Amino acid sequence: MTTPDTSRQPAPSGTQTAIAFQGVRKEFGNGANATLAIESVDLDIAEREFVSLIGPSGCGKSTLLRLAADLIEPSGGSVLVNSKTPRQARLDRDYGFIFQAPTLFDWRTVWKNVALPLEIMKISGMSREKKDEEIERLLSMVGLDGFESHHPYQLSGGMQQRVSLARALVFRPSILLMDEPFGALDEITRDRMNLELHRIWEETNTTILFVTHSIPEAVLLSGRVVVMTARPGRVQEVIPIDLPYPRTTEVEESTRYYELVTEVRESLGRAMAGGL
Amino acid sequence: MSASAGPEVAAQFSARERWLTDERAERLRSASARITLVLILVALFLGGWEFLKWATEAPRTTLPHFHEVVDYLFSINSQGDVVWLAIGRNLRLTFIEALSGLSVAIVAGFAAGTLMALSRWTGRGIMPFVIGAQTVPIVAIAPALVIWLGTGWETKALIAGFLAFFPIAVTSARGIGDVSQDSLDLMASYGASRTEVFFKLRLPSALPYIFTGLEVAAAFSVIGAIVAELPVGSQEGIGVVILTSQQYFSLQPESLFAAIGGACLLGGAMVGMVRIVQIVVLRGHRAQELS
Repeated sequence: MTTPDTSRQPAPSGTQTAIAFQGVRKEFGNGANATLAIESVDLDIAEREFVSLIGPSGCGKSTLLRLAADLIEPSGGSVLVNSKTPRQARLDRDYGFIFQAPTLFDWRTVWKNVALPLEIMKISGMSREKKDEEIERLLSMVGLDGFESHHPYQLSGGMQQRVSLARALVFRPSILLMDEPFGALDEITRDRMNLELHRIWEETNTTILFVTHSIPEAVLLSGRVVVMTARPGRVQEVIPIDLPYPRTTEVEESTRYYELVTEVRESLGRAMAGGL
Repeated sequence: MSASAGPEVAAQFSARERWLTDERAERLRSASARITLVLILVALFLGGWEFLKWATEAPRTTLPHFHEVVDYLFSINSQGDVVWLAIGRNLRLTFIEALSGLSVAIVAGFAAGTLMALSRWTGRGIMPFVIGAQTVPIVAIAPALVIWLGTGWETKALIAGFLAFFPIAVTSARGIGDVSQDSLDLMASYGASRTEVFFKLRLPSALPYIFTGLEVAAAFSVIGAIVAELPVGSQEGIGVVILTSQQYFSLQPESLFAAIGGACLLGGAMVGMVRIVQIVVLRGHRAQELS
């Protein structure tokens, strides 16, 4: 049901490709017990683009993200991140990864959690003052001034995820890989975090690959929404989101927004039907 | 939880401050509650002791009054020493044995636990020895060790360490191995080395586990030191006092109770020491009841 024309979406012309998936296949397990998680995915994500991956559970959207992050390796095809192998991109600290759980270290204060990547990377030519400045700037960007010396367990879920966001941005990666970052948050906090993430995306010029279960979230944030089918995971359709920027609450109330939400929902419905 | 609104954040911050003050008051309340509880338990213990004596009509040679034990502590023994000072001298030696044993066990247990958690093959090789060490009845091999290695304090320290080794090895293995995949992936995404993963993630997240093992190990080290003192040949230590008191029980029953009390005090002191170190080291760690 997938025509080659819709599954292969070239990046908007005139820009560099940040992440390129080419004929990517991923099997888990081996022999007779192997399950095919992803079958031949072709997808290009341009620099500074915000792309959402959406699909039923088991469609391999998190797997795609982990392939780009070099947390797992593909069984076939190739993945390029900033025109490098994912491993090289990982070692060059080209991306920040954000998990569904904030994954903060309980024994570190908010400040020291954000400082963690800088401690490990030992970025040359970056003085202590410069690092402190950077951490301060990031904490203020995510609205956590005054919470520097708190410990993660003293914060709400939303605040913890902000810390995680600051930690991913502190070393200025060109790419953010986000695996359902707001999936565990309540609706109100989630809406707020979405708008903030959008603001941060505009301010920082990062490329974002965003995995989500939420259709409204995907439409509100993205330049393109990639709808995937389940078992095995394939790209069903890539839907361009032609909403005006910046994406604000007003955009969320526009007719076009609702049309696009419906379009994604219908595409997702076809993807589910195809997967069964 | 506001991001851009400055005043709102400030308001929340002061709420945090208030919360911290509340926490301080709460800590005071819980401290005074704990002292009251200890006093009640002491009263219950003494009441139970005297009630048992009254109900069974036990003579002094079976169960003396508590105050008779206290009087005995301040009496002069056959060597012309004040009894509590003499017990204290013996406790000091046992304490040195237990502490030396515990120190060795901390190093060896942590090393074994780390290997078990991180290295599949070495870990599997070590495991049977760790379990074997735990199942060997210490009372049975203590006399043999004394014969082989002599009656010096080092032998007793070794036996104390032998007993303390197991809880430390097991909790270290558990703590160091039990790290979430997300945390490991996070460290990998920074290109962290194995050493960095160990010192920045595994070790700090294992510390609460390890301290739980340390508390048990501290108590075990005292038991090990006392058991090691029991075989004939030892001259000093609280184990020797217990053994001698046992032999003269019908003549001087207070002596045994005083020695047992001393041993309990020593065990309590060892565990207390570990707790104090734990409080200092784990400042900032999430209190375990919160997790």
